[in-house]
Amino acid sequence: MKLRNSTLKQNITTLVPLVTTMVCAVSFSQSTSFQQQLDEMRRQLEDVQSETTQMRETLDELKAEDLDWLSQERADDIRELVQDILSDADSRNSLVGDGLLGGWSDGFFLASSDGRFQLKIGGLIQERFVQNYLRSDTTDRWRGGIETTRMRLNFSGHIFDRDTTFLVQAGYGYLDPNAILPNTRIADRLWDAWIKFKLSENWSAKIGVFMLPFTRESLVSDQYQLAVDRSLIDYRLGLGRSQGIELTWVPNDTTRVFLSTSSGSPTLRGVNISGTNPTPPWAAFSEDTDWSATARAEFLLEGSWSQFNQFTSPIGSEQGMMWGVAVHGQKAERLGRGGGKQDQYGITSDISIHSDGMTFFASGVFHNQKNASSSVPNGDWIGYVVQASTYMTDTSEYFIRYASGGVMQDSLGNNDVHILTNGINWYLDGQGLKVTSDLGISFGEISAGQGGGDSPAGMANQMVGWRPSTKQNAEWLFRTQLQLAF
Amino acid sequence: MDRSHKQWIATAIAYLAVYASVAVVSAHAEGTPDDLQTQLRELQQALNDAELTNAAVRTELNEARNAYYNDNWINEERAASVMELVNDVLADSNQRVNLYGDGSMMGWSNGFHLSSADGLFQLNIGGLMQTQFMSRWLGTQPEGSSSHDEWRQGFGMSRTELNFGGHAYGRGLSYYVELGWGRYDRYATTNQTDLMSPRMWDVWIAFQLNTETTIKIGQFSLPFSKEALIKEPYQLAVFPSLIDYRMGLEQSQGIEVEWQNDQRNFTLAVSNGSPAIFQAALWGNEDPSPPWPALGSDTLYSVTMRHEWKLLGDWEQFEQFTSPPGSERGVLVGLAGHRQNSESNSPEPIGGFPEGVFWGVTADVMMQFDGASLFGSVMYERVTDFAPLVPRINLLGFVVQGSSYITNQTEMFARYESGGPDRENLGGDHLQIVTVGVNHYVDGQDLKLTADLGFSFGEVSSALQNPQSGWATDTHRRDQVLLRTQLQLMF
Repeated sequence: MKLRNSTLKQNITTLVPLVTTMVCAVSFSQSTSFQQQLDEMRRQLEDVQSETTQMRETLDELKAEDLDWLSQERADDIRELVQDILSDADSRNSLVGDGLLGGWSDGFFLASSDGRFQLKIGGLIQERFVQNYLRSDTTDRWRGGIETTRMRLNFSGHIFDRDTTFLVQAGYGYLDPNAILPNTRIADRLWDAWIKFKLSENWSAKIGVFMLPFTRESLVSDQYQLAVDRSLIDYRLGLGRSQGIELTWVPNDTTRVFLSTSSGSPTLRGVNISGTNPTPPWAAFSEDTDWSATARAEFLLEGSWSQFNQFTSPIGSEQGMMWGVAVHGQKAERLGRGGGKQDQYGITSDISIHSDGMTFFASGVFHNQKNASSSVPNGDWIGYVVQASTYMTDTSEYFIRYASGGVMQDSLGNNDVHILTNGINWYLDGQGLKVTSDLGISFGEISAGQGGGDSPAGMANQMVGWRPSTKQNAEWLFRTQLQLAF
Repeated sequence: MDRSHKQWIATAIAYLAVYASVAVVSAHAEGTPDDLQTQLRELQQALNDAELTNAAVRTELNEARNAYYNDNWINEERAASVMELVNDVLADSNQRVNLYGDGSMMGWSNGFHLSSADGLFQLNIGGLMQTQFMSRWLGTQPEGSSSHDEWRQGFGMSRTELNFGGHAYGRGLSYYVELGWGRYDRYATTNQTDLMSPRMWDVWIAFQLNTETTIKIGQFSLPFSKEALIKEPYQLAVFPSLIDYRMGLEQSQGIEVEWQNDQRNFTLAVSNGSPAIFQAALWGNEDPSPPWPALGSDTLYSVTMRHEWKLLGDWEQFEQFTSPPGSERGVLVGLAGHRQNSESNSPEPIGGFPEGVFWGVTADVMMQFDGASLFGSVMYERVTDFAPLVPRINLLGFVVQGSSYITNQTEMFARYESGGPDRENLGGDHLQIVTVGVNHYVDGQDLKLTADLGFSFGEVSSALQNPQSGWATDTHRRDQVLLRTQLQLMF
């Protein structure tokens, strides 16, 4: 029994620590699990709170943006967007069609939005009052009136690209501006009609109806003249318009050369078809010339080319000087029916000086014409023009011109023209709206010519205002012109 | 060692182990399980609260995002703000004015136009096409004619026109050009009456000197008879009366000063002279109507003046004969005079004829009611030294016409005209024509159908006949009937 008690004690002693250890172990284990749960929950709580904080910040930002939604940046963005839309609207122009632009840009125009096509629409109206006095015993001494000397619309621009340009000038004007015929009608006519191709940086080619590149007076457009009209000399000894091809060569910034072959110049009655129709266009197979060639070289000594598109030099313009020289030859059509052929060869040279408000221009021209008439196998035409101008105010300009010449043979009238012209230009809006008045006095005679056909022409020209006069100091001419060009 | 020592040592170790275990457990546990439970519950509660708050914030954020990004972001207020911004851009940009109606640089505004953005330049492009079908019955063979075509009919285009007008360098300078194809001699003064050719009708430049005064230079209708001053597309019948074709002064080139206020209009023209009554042929002009060369033989002087009194209405309504339903009432009285002396071709007059004098006066009244109109005019002209065999001619003519709308677009009209020269060798004043007709305004004057039927109760002398209007020379009374229809397109 004692032994059994002792063993029991031993077992109890052994079990107590074991149980205690187990209890402690269980207890320890349970405590650790709670802690983990607590830790987990704390982490979740922190996550939730963190997320909530972030969302709240985002929400605050959104609210702040909502209050100030149209910031300067956004306004700029919208502004840019609107301008893009407008640009697109420009390119489409809602009223006309796809890709068409139109309006005014130094002239009325229509254009494609890609810039490949452009049509410019312009116009010129010249209303003129003319009063002529002729000391004569055989005709009306005083002759005057009002006329629409020129009313034309011009259509120009480029097609396909900027290297292909065109010009059409059509309207109402004198059918016979060079007085080739005794035709003084004002009717529908064509001035220029050409297409020009830019072949390279230095070369271009023009084909159609255009002013032959000879005298500078002719090459300056009607609306950019200094006086009411060109000189009588230029209307006879200038070559006028013809139809053909003209090459332009620009080797450098100060030189340009024009080379033309054409149906010939009608002004000396060297083109038979001009006896029917004084100005081109003519039919290709009409009786014109066997060949005709014209060449002109211009040298820019000072200034820019564009300032020599007109004769005036407005106040504020730069200094400019240009020298030009040109030659022309044409061989009359051989028809196999005999008769003299009016072959002709000519040369001209001119100098133009522009300064700040002043100009000076001088030119001389000479033509030799075979068979000028049946009795005159050789006719020599000579002419010169000197003119100058100076501005009196910013918009008004005084000018003076002296023109002289004619055919040298006495039997054809002699070089009898001596005309002094004084006048004033009033530039109401540049060349676009201009009033010009001039008074011309003839100190010589003005030949009438010998009928039409292939007989020699005289120097008289009713469009310019000078009637035939066989007396010296017997004629004067007053002209006033209102010009509207746009 | 005895067993009791061993037992004591074992017991001590056991208790030590127990104490150590308890100490270890105590060291690892923060509290008792009850405390942990409490902490756990509190933590759970905090987590629940946090999730609720999170859900609420998320909901609010989602709503805010939806509001920010969805299609309805541009509310009325924002739309107004954007609109204001766009208007600012448009107003600031002169280059963009083509999107505004008034400042359009090209397009249509009562006509095709091109213009500059600053309004200084404008080009209006218009057109007119008048196509007729006419049929004429002529009962008796004309004297001196070897042929007699009792019935004659055909189509014609009396006028195909493009016109270019507008202003340049400001609204104070206006211009106008009328070009096209038409009858070379519409007044029948030459033998080229059937030739259709390119024509230039009007071309002028006008300066507005002040609000009442305008000066015009160029080619225009001389201010004499009202019928001639109302342009072709605004006539009542297909063509003006034969009286006006012969006695109206037609067109010339010169300078015209016009003064106009609310009640009165006074126009004075100095010109190259009227080609009417065969004057251009007397001068020796190749062309029966302008343009003529300034130094051509025409008149020594020519003055025309017309005075109008507007008793009722607006000036614009008297630019046409019709008075559409809904238009206001108007009364206009006009009085005009003209005189010209032919240019002498010294020392001998042209063709041996003496220097000719041509003068005339006319008076007319226009009355327009709401859908009805009445017009009457009388003209007297005298030509002296016409030719050696005809030292003087007196011409007297009058025209009365009235109209009334029968629907909003359809109008009936009637016209009576009579007169002519007093010289029997020029046909005498035996013209008497009644014309009745109808206008159907499909789109106002722009698209209009006109049909009229004319009866000649008198004679149509060779001096008054006019191929354009359709009336042929006929020296028999009650011997000619003319049917004319016309389609007009104008833009």
